[in-house]
Amino acid sequence: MVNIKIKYLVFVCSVSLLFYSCDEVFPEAPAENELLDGPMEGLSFSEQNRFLAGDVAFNDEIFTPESGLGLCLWPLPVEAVIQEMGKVILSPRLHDLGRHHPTKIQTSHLEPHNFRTGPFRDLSRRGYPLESLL
Amino acid sequence: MKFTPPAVTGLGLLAALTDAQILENSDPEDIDGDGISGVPNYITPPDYFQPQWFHQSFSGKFIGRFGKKAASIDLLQQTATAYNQDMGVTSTFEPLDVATDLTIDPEVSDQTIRDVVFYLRTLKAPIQRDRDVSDVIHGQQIFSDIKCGSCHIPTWTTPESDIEALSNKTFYPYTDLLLHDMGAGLDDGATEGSAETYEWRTPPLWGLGLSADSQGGELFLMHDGRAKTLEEAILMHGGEGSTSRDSFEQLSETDKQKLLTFLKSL
Repeated sequence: MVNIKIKYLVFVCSVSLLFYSCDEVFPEAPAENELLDGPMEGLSFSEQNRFLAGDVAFNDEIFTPESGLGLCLWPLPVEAVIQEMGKVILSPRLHDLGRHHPTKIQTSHLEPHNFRTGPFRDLSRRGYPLESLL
Repeated sequence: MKFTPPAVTGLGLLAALTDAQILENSDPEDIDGDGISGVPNYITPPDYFQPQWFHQSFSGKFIGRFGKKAASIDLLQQTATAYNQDMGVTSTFEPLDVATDLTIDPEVSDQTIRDVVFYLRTLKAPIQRDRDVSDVIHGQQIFSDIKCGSCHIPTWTTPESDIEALSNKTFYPYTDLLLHDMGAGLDDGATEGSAETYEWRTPPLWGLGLSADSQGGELFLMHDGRAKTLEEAILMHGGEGSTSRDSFEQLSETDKQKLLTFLKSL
């Protein structure tokens, strides 16, 4: 009888410990309307699979040192990629043009004097003439 | 020259709209006299662009709807261009390496590009919070009263789409996808397509209230992140946005806060 009581007590304590431990380990999940991620409602099974493939491509594939371009990526005009946790991710933070990468990756081609040969040379360079209007 | 990265949520709904719907709000000559013109950015399409039934050709050009100055016609162009120009990654769509000016092997596959396009088309749109809170409701009314909604058009409905989830959906992006003269203060000296240096596409406001959370707790508003608060961003509106900006300045402190509360709910 005593043995059963002890077992019961240990069980209750274990469950309680597990419950409160998990409560501290896992923060409360954000509500659906507080998330900026996830597929829209109403996708078919095959569309959800395509969404997941795109999710991987957008968020992981290209930006990993192991399987993608990794750290050789550095944005030219947007200057908005940072190196974080061994993975280059899109960042909302702004970086000054010509700033050197913290990992000392060669970025001299990004210096301002070379920017005029960069990506916006034909699109939005200062003084570039407007395309003719209709 | 600095640009903030674009928000990518809900783009499929914007991509599904017809050019005719966008043109309904265009008023280049300001015929209605409200001080708001709104013009499309007419873009010469890249070779790989495939017009859909909802696109219209204007002497070989098409209406841009993505990017700070609406320089991309569709999400394929936006994605391939972003890979190439923003990240220096070549593809068969945009094969020219921006660092060397040479056409080099594609660094990303067509399949990956198309996967990302599909992801962007089907990434859910931000959902407004606290819609029934009185300050939000009042703030929304103020938003309308001071004519913010003349450019930041709240409501759109998609036509039929090849993706059923995108068909006949009413959504709330708060944009007209058109270019507006935003005044000398926001002139970046750069043109894109037919967009003048002082013209910017009305950015969608949905997700505004969540953007700080996804940016390390800070706001980076306007095209280059120069505004660190919603109020700063409103006060930086010039040109066609001047009247609404002035109206905002004349609001009582209470009404200003209600308007900001509404914006934070988006």
